[in-house]
Amino acid sequence: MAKSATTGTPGSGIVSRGQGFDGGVNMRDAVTQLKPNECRKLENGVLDERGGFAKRLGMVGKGAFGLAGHRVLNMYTYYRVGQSPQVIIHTTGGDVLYTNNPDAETITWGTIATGQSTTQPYSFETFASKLYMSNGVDPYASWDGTTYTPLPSAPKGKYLRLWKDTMWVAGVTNLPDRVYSSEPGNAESFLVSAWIDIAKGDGDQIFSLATDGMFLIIGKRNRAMSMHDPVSFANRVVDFEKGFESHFSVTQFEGAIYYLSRRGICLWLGDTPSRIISGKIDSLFDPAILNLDALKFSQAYTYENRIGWTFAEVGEAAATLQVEYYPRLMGEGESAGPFAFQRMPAACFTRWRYGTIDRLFASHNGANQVLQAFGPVGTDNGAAFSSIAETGALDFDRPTVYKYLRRMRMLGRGQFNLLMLRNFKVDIYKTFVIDMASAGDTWTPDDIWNVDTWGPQALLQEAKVHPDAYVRFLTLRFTDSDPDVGTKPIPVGSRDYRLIAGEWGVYGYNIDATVLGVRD
Amino acid sequence: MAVKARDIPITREDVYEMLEDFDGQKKHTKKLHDHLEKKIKDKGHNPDQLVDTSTNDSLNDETSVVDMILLDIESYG
Repeated sequence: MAKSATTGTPGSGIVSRGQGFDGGVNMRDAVTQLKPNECRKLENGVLDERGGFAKRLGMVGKGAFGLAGHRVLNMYTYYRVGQSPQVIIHTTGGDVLYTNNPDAETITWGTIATGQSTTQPYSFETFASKLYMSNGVDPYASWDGTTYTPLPSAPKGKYLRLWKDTMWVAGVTNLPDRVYSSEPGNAESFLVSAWIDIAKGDGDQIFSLATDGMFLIIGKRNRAMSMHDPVSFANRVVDFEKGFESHFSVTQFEGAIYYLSRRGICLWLGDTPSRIISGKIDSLFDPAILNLDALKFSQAYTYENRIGWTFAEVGEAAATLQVEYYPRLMGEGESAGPFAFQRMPAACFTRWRYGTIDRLFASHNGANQVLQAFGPVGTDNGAAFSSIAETGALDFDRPTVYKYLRRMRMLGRGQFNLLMLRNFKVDIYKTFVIDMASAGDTWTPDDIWNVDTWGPQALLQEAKVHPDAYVRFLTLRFTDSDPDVGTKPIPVGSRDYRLIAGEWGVYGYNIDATVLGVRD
Repeated sequence: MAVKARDIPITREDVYEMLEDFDGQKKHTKKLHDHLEKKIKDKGHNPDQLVDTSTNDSLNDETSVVDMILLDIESYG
């Protein structure tokens, strides 16, 4: 049944209050059906405060590794008690490299091994103070921070997972259903009968091993099983119609497991089939948009209040797009939080925390570089990027008549462009430069009282616009590609902290309009 | 009586050693079966010891150790 709306009395006023951006991007529903807090486009920004949208920070280059044509296949942080965590990278040059300090201006790389696979990424796990690695091509091996030790008698699988004090291995060539267990407490010894076939001969193969701590999750492409007894290997089917696309796409965030399936991003429910939470971006998972074959290398990362997944778009071999999910912004009665996109030149990610530092590092998708993601800069390794937030088609509950937009007020910070589009057209109807940049104390002894800017301004400011616009449907697009950074106020009791943030942010907008009439 | 899969004290490394002086092809199952049987005995184990494989989709409830090795021989490269 259609929702009723009024035409409004000509000349009557409308006050429309923007409801923020915390519904995230919605590319599933028709543009007129979006909720007031949803956007048609959200890219290169963060929903770091409920309702607000801010430009994201950029990426800082950390120097080169290997040869110019080399790329990172996978990266991992190897935590060592009492020592700095090492960041490990496996490259298309067949090298496995490490650094003790990825936070250095230029990273110094040491070599763990050379001559390894140039296409199949290593899976990494840390156990009993050692790093273990396996990729199904080269021998399973360990690294203790200084010494690399191949363990050729271990099963040569693509995927490793630590569960119940045991290393589990899957993805051995020609044994697509088989899962191996190491001896309990010893990831370097495998007994001859400690293996099991899961759904043998079903035409599918294992693409992931994961765990929630209680169970070992065995993900094939079209279904998922869980093992609940590490001794008897007792297992059962959990989800008979949604599988795992990538071992590297599984992540945990606040007690929940999220992963990538062919149908979208899934929330693992443990004892019942997983729930797809990415309904609003359903149309992304189309072979005309994504390189389906590259989904097996999609990666997940967690950072601040969000989880990200990497995707290679159609025609691309490496990831070109990141989809970010905000579980904490789930609204009451909603089954999932908002999603947004990033276009960072990044393919693989790893978090690195040491002392006072907590960073997200990424590998460049088009260069032999490692980058700090969301670093304190406004460019991606020197290249400007645009952020965009675009609303749905707003009709102010009066879809059939024209409205005159008299006044608009915005709350935000920084400088950006406000573009108005009307009546579903793609051309820009109106453009406004919104300047809410905070000026510093520019007063000097030569300045004249009451003429110059004197004293610092508030970071959050209101801007006023007089659109002088005639619309039936209005689309607002907030965008810019300014290479600067801004600051964001965070009140902690009586003290305000100013954090480095993307150059601008929008936290709300209101529109004053007047109903006109039918005008065709 | 069948024992649990992780209670068989023969490691994959042991099997690599057992295969070192095997001059046939791994596909010749009978010959390999006999070879492994002898080597397992030489190491003081029972090659006919049954393993509980009741949770394994592809196997009977119990499977001998030597058969477990043969069924997994492809993973030894």
